[in-house]
Amino acid sequence: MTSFLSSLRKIPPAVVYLAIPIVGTAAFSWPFWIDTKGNAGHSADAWIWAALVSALAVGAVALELKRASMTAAGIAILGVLASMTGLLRIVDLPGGGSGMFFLLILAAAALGPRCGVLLAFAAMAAGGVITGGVGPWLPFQMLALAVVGAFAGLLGNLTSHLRPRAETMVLGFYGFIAAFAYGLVINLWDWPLRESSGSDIAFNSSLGFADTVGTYWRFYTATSLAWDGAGAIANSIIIVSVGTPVLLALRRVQHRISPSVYFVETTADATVTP
Amino acid sequence: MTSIDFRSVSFSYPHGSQALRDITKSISDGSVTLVLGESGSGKSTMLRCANGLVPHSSGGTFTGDVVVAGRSIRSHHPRDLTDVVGFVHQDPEAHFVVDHVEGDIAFALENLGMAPIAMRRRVEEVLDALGIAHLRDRDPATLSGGEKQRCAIAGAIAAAPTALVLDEPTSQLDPQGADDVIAALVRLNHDLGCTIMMAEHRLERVATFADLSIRLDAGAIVASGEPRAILGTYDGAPIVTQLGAVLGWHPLPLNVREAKPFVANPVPRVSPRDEHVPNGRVLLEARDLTVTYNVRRAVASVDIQLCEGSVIAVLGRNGAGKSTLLRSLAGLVRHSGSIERNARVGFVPQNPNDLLHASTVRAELATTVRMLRSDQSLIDIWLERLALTSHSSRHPRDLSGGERQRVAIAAVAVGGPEILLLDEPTRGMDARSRDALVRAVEAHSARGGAVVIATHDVELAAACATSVVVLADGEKIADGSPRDVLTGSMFAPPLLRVLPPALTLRDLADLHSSEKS
Repeated sequence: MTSFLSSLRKIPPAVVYLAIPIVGTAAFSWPFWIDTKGNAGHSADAWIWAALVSALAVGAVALELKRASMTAAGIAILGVLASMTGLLRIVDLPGGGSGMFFLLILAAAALGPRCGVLLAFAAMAAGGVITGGVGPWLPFQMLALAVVGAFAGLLGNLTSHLRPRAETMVLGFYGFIAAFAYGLVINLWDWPLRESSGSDIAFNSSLGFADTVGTYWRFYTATSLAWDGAGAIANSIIIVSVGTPVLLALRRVQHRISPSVYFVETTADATVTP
Repeated sequence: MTSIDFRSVSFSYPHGSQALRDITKSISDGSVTLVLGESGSGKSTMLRCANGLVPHSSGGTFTGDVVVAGRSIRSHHPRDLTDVVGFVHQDPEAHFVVDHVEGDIAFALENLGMAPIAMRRRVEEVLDALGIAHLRDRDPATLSGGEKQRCAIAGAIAAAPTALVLDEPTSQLDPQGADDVIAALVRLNHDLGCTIMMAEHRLERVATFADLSIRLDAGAIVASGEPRAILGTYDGAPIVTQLGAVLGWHPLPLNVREAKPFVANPVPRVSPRDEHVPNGRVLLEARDLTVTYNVRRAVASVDIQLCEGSVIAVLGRNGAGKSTLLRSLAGLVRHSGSIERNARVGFVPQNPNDLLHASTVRAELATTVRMLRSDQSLIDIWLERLALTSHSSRHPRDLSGGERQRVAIAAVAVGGPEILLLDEPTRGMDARSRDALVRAVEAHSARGGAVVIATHDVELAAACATSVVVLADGEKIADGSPRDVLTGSMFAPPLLRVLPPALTLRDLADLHSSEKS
C-alpha cells in the first residue's frame, strides 16, 4: 500500500483533473448516443459513476497530499470553505437557485481552479449529507459543480488583475451563465428516467442524435429554464454585491493553499529554481 | 556540537520586502538563545526557518541554508523535522487539535506512528517534565493562559525533539502564567539538555539563563553574544539593565538581585517628578459599584472618580475583577450602585481582534469616524500618537500582536471619547509599542481626557498613572498615587526596589543630563 501511494507521487495531478471533464462528459452525455433500451434510469449504472467520481475526488486530494503541494493550513481553509458552501445549499435564494454557487465561484476565483474542483467535490458531498440529499444524483451534481468551480478558477486567474468592481461584474456574469449551464447539464441525469411518460419532451432512446438534442432542449425550456433563470439572476446579484470583500479576504490566504517557494543558490550566478 | 546552523540565510516573503539578510549563526546543542529586536525586525521569520515553516508554508524566495541536526530545510519540510525541532507559537490556542490535554500531546506521536505502549510512556514523561500532570484530563479551552502554553509546549516536545523553538511564548500571558512557562523552559534546558531558541519580551526572567543573544534589525544580525554584552544598548532591556547602562554599572545587572550590590555604593540623588494630582472637571463618578455574576461578586462596592487628566491603573491578579470594573464603567454589564457620566466613554477590550474588521488600518479608524460622526482630523492625530502612521495602509490582521492592540486603541479613540478604558493594552507589546502607548495616554490626558488601564504591567502603571487602584476579589484594597501604593508592595516595579523613590528612568533624567554637561 505504501509503495502504491509513493508511486502515486509520480502521477501529475493534471491527469486526475483532466479526467474530471472526461468522466463528466461520459456520465452526462450517454442519452445522446446510447441506443439500447432497458436501462431504467441509472439504477444499473449509477454506482459506476458514483465510484468513478469518488475515486477522482479521493485521488485528487491524495495526490495533492502526497506531492506535499497542500499544507495543513490549505486543507483547513478548504475544509472550512467546503462546510460553509455545503451549508449554503440549505438556503434557497428568492425565486429559486441554490445559495452555494456564489461562494464556490468566488472561492474558486480567488484560490484557483484546483481549489475550485476540490471545493466543489467536498461542498456538494457535504451539502448532500446535510440536506439528506444523498442518492444516485449526487455524483452527477459533484461532477457538474466541479466543472463550474474549475472554470471559475481559470477565470479568476485572468480577472485578478482587474479593478475589484470590474472583476465582480465579470464573475457575476459568469455566475449568470453558470446557473444555466449547470441546470442544462444536471437535468440530463434523470431525464432518461422519464422515458416511459410518452410525451414529446421525454427521452426516447430510438431517436437519433439531432432529434434527441431537440427533444432535450424542449424538455429543458419547459421544466428548468425559468428556475435556472431565477438562480442566474440571484447569483449575479450576490456576486456583484458581496464579491469585493469576499475576494479580498480569500486572496489574503491564497498563499497558504499552495505557497510558492523559490530556492536561490548562493553561488555568484544565482539561478532561480521553482 | 551544532544543533541549528544558519548559513548565509536571506529570505523575502512573496510580494514582500526582504525579511532576512545574510544570517549566519550556529546555535550549539543544549544552549539557550534569545532572539531580540523590534516588531518586524525578522525575529519570527528567523525562528520559523529553524523548522522550515519559512519558506515551506510561507512561500517566498530563500537563499542560503539552515541545517538542523544534519538535515537541510531545503530538502526537508516542517513535518520531516518534527523529531528534531518543536515549535511553539505566541498564541497557545493555535496549537490545540484535541479537546483533551493528554490526547493533544499524544496527537503528534500518533501521527508519527509511535507504538501505543511507547506513546503512553512518553505522554507521562512529558506531563511530568512540564509539571502539568494534574491537568491531563482537562479541556485546553478551560485552562488559564500559562497552563495552556505549558500544554502547548508539552505537545511540541512530545516527539522528543533536540531543539525547541518558541516565538514569544509568554507575550499573551499574565505575569504568573509567564513565570510558570519560563520556569518550565529552564527545567527543560537544565534537566533534559533541550536546546532552546526563543524570542521573548520578558527579558528580566530569561536573560540570566540565556547563553547567547542575537539582536536583529531590519532582518540582519546587528549584534550577537552573551546577553549582558548586548542588552546595554537595547530598548527592550529590563529596566534595571537600562539603569545600569545609564549609571555605568559593570557588569550590567540583568535583574533586581544583581543590581542590589551597586546600590550600596554612593548612588545618584533621585529627583522624582512632582506628583500630578488631577483636579479638573469630574468626568465620571462611580459610587458603591457592585457587579454580581450569578452568586459571585466580581466587583464589590468600588468607588472611583475620574477627572480631566486622570490616568488610573487598575492592578490585581487574574479574576480580581479588573475587566469587570472596566466593563461596568463602560455600561456593558448590569451593576448596582451609581455611575454618573459627564463625558463619553470608549472601551477597548482585551482581545484587539474583536474590534478589527476593515481591510486597512486607516479604513479601520475611518469606520469609527464615519459611524460616530467625529472629527476626520483625529485619524491622523491618533495614527501619529500611537506610531501607526507607517502601517496605515496595511491589513490589521497582518500586524503583530502589539501593533494590532494599538490599532484597536486608535480605532476607539478616534471616536473622540473623553474617557478611554483600556483592558490589558500592553499584552504582546514590545518596548517601542509600549513607549508609544505611554506617550499616547499622556497626550490624551494632557488634553483633558481621562484613561483607565486594567493591567498586570506595573512598569506601565509607574510610567503613566496618576493613581493606582489595586483590586482583590473585586474589592478595592489600595488606592493612591503610584509611589504610595507601589512602595513596599510585592507589586513594586524593579526600579523602585533598586533606587527608591524612582519610578521610571525619567526620574533620573536631570541626573544624567547634568552629568553629561
